[in-house]
Amino acid sequence: RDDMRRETPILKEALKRISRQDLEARNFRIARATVLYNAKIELPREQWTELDEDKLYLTPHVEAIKKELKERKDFEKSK
Amino acid sequence: LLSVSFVEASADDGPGKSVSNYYYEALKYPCPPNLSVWWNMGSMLFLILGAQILTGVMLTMNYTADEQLAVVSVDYIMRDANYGWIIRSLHMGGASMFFALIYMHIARGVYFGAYLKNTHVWYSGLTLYLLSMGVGFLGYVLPWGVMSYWGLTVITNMMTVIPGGARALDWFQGGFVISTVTLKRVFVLHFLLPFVILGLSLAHVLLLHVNGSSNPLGLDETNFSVPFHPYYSIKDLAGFALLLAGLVGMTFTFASLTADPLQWQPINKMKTPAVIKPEWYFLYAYAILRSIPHKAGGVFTMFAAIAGIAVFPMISSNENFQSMKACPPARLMFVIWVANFMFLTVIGAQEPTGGWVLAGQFGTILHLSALVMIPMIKADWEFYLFMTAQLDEEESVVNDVKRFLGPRLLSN
Repeated sequence: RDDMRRETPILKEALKRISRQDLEARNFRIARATVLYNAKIELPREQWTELDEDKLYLTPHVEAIKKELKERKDFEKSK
Repeated sequence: LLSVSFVEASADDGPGKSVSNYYYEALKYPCPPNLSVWWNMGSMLFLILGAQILTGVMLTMNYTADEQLAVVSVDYIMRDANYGWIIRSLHMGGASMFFALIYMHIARGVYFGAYLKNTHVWYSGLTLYLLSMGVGFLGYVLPWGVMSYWGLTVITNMMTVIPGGARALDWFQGGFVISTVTLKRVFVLHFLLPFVILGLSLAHVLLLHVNGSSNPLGLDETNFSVPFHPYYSIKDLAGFALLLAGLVGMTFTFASLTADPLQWQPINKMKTPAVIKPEWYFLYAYAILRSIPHKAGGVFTMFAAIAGIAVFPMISSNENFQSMKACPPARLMFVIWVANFMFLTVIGAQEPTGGWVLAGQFGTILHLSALVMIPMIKADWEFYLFMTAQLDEEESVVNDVKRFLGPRLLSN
């Protein structure tokens, strides 16, 4: 699910915080999806990621960045 | 462009760009590698706009904007002017193709979430659509057939719903009734506005180049891009070939496919035709206009339906997913919306009697509610998908549905 997040400034910041391993795996999956889409090939069933196996590697960072931004905004308001 | 010599950018280059930067911008612009045929619509629209301006200028050379002479001049174009019938048929067919492409272009934007990535492009596109509707309507008036006159009467009288509208109507008409004076200014506006559209189209593309195109999968493909040339220049050329084939085929076989037979009858200002209807591309708006029994209500509802796509960026800013690829419920709503659009087009062509009135009202409600429901359903589905991950135990289908509906109900 985190692979499908659209490009936003928050996502760009979150991508800087994840591990290199997660980033490379993400890039591989996106590249694979693009190539398969162009070739109109579906990924074999055994390679699908099940919902309970899907590890949200970006969501915690995205939520943390949103929290940081909110804190910064509240701080600026209280000045 | 390929023969231009490159000039390196230097510190002395002020705000203007060097030639090599223009080359980069135009030909080597990074694009997602998986753009489908739905991304051809933009360039095809550009081609059709150019064709319309070219054929329009040629028609202008033989057209006379006068009540007594308009029909005679159009007849001269069709019968006597060298290849005038081809130019006119191309212009007529080109207008239909232009709007067909616009609707497909907008549908692509809604389905693939283009409004999320490029909000300014979305609003400039909406402005282009409204201007194009104006130009199309004005152009339909010029042949001065029965539908031209009565269509102009219906649409210009919509001005009277606003305060001071009656005076504004007289100001637009150039008098208390529609006359040669009105036709002349309609002709001037129809000639000038396409150039405004051309300039705004260039701005539309430049705004697109700020963030770049979205892609069918809605993925973040910043690190995977291909240059516009040769991948998409070739693809666009293929699109152009198909488009021109369709346009020329339509011109030489079904030139009057979308024309109303009443356009070939002389105007009788004392006799209103039984059925007044615009060209096919305005029929959905016409159906919405007629479905509201109140005059002002009908006008405002119609404009709300036309400009309603402006709400997509406003109510979608929190969406995580760009495309509807991962959202089956939103896809279903989208298909219903498109089918309803076609349904409204059919209703707009019918007489407003019997069951067609109720059908039009139903279609209007569905169209307006879909504009709000599509982004809401998408956001709800995403929330459900991300929330599902937080649950450890196995759940039944009933609990799945409760979880999907729950957050909205619980928050209320």
